[in-house]
Amino acid sequence: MKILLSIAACATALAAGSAFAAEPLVTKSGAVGDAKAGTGQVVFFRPGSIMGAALGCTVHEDEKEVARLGSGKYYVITAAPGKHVYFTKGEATDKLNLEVEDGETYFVKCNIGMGVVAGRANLSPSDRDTFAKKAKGLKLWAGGDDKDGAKDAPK
Amino acid sequence: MQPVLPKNTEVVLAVADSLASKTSKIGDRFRISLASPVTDASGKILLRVGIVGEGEVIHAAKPGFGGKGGELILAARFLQCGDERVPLGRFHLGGSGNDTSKTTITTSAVVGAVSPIAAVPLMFVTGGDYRVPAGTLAQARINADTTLTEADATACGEVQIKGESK
Repeated sequence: MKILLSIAACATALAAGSAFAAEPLVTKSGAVGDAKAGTGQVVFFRPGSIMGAALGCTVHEDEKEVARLGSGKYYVITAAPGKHVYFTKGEATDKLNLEVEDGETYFVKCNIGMGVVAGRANLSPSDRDTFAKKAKGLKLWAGGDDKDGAKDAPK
Repeated sequence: MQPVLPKNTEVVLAVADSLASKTSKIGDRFRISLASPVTDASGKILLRVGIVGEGEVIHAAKPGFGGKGGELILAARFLQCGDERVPLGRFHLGGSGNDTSKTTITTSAVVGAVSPIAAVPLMFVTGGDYRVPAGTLAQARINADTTLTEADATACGEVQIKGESK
């Protein structure tokens, strides 16, 4: 029992597999489900904030754009099990390395930090609990030219 | 019959080394140990507390300019059981340090409005380090069915003293 209590107190679980599933994650746009069998999924989210609200947080993997998050947006991508490197471009490049496992959901937060000329989009590891606290204020990025997606920071 | 550790068995692990985003590098290995015994259906201990293994740093980033916090993502790789490595997954301990970018931006805006030059040093303010102290506990799972030889089972299971299990 002591061990279980210690885990709850000490450990920050980045991923949430189906066996650990708790309350469903409900956003303004609906619920975030579990990863499909044989794949993992990554939830990118950007909590609403006045800071850098006009700037976008565009997430890439290799040459591909995987999400473009304005303030208060989130997007879920399916990812094959294995290593992935997600990054933002702009005044500086910020990389996040993930190792995706079958059936797991990962949470990645984007925020706009301070730069020399303009804000910098930063990706950082997050967790289910943090996303759950913000979920009710988040809308799904519609993809493509979603008008709520803000403009990228200048390079 | 040789004991089998089934895939997806949950294990509780303790990180044996202190880790920090400031000093860790991607690919670094660190020590882990089993914090709670793994038993079979009859209650026999298959993996006892204290057997050791390794984890790996998946992602590490130092605290950055503008108040960005340090980042660390860890994975558990295996527990060593005699000659057998028990593969582990679904550990993913980690997070990010205190992000002070909002405070830095706000302060810069206020100071910059009075004197832009005075706001320049604020860009070099860094966020907090992310630390995982030795002894931190987290859950993982066994990644594949693993059959133990008698020798491995003896090395990792119940400690035999004078013919009795303890």
